[in-house]
Amino acid sequence: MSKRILIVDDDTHIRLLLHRTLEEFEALGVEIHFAEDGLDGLTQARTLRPDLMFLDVMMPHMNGFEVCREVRRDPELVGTHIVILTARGQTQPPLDVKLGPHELLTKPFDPDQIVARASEVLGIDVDFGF
Amino acid sequence: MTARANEPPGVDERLAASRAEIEALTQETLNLYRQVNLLYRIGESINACLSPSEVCQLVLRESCKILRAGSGVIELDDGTRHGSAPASPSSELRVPIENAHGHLGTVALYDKRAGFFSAADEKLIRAVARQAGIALENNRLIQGLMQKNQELATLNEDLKAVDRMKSDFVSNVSHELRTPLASIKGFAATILVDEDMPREVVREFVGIIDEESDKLVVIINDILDLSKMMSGHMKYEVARARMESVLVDVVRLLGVLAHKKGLELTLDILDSAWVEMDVNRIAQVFKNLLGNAIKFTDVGAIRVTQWLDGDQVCVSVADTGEGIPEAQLPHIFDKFYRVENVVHTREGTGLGLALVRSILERHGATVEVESQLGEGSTFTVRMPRAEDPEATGVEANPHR
Repeated sequence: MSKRILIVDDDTHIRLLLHRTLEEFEALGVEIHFAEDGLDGLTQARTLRPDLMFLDVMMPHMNGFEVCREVRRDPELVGTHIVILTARGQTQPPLDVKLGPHELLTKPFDPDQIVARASEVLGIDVDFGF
Repeated sequence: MTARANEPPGVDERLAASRAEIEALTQETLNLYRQVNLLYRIGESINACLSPSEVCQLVLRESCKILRAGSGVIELDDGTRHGSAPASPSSELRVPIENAHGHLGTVALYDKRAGFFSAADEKLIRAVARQAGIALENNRLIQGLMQKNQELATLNEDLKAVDRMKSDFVSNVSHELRTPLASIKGFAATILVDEDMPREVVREFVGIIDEESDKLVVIINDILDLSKMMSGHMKYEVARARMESVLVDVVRLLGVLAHKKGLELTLDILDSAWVEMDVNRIAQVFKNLLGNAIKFTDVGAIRVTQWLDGDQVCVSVADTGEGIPEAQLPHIFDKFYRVENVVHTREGTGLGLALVRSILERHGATVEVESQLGEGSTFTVRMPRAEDPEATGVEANPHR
């Protein structure tokens, strides 16, 4: 069964950017899915059971931390690694070991870092193309 | 032994005389004790922080008791009156209540017996009245202090709230700046690393960088505008212009956004009207209102309507969006304020509506909001109507 990445962000350009950044994985058979708001993200997470989720924080209907909490509470989704991409500065809540994200990256993010994280989580080596 | 005319009194008589003397002394001592006690108790009331009416009642009760007077009245200069005066008293003792700052009122004691009050009584009541004056003054000062204290506590709460809003604002602005920056930096980096990127893809990405840079410019301009307004340095160029021409431009500009979200956007001009305004600033007002309507509406329609109501030009922007909780309506035009349920779900700096209000105030205009949760919000702007220059012959701005 192929690996799956779910990208949840309400900003079209950020979705496009993440897609572009991760397209090497797509070439290696990884499925990349998108959701445009928190609720859609949670619904898709439950059906897709992604291996890796990139979550924005400020989104309509449900924010990234709420989505994260629901995903981590779901016993079916224990295999989902969650990376929250936050544009917030100092005011982010402390990471909750049980219900918080596995890691937080701050926007603007470094595309190489996204690739490196995905590569490690999915256990797939990609040629960065340099 | 001859009996002398001035025979000294016998033992019994002397004994009776000294007993009477002792009794008189005892009586006087007791009286003095009562007087001292009265002054002491009234003095205590100064420290006890009694209310003015409590001080007056204590003074009346104790004064009547110690002088055995029938009744008494205290009238204060603020118009309050305590106690009761008999219809036709035979004796009256009246002394002023004063303190260092002047006259505060009068205390009067009455009795039905004629010639009832002595000079000593008056002296005592004067002393009592002095103490009462101090007690009343202390009470006034304490009341003043307590009120000041309350005001300071309220002010402190308000300042804390503003401080909280300011920190939220900083983190909102940081968020608002970082999101476009993430795209700009990300696409720029993507172009840089891919030397073989097709030209049309490069163009597409540069287009995105350009678009996101515009977002940054808007946010930065909002912050600068607000800071100019706060310091009173905002310049207004006021000219007479047609209200509807501003609305047509704004609706055309933001129509693209509305259509992208699948929202219907209509503009109804029921009455044409002229207004004295800074056209760019008023356009900014409607860009903000319409931008909010689009941002907070996912399905339905946004209707912009212009009509005349007497001397006022009214423009309403009505949406079918998520609405604003009633408790938060009074605050939405405050600087940095953001409606609670959108703080974590929608982007925004909390400056837009503060700018709207500030610009409208400078035009002598107002803005009101009505909202129903889940049904939508309607913002209504009312501007003073100007004469039609074509009707009065006044030179009009030909472009507007």
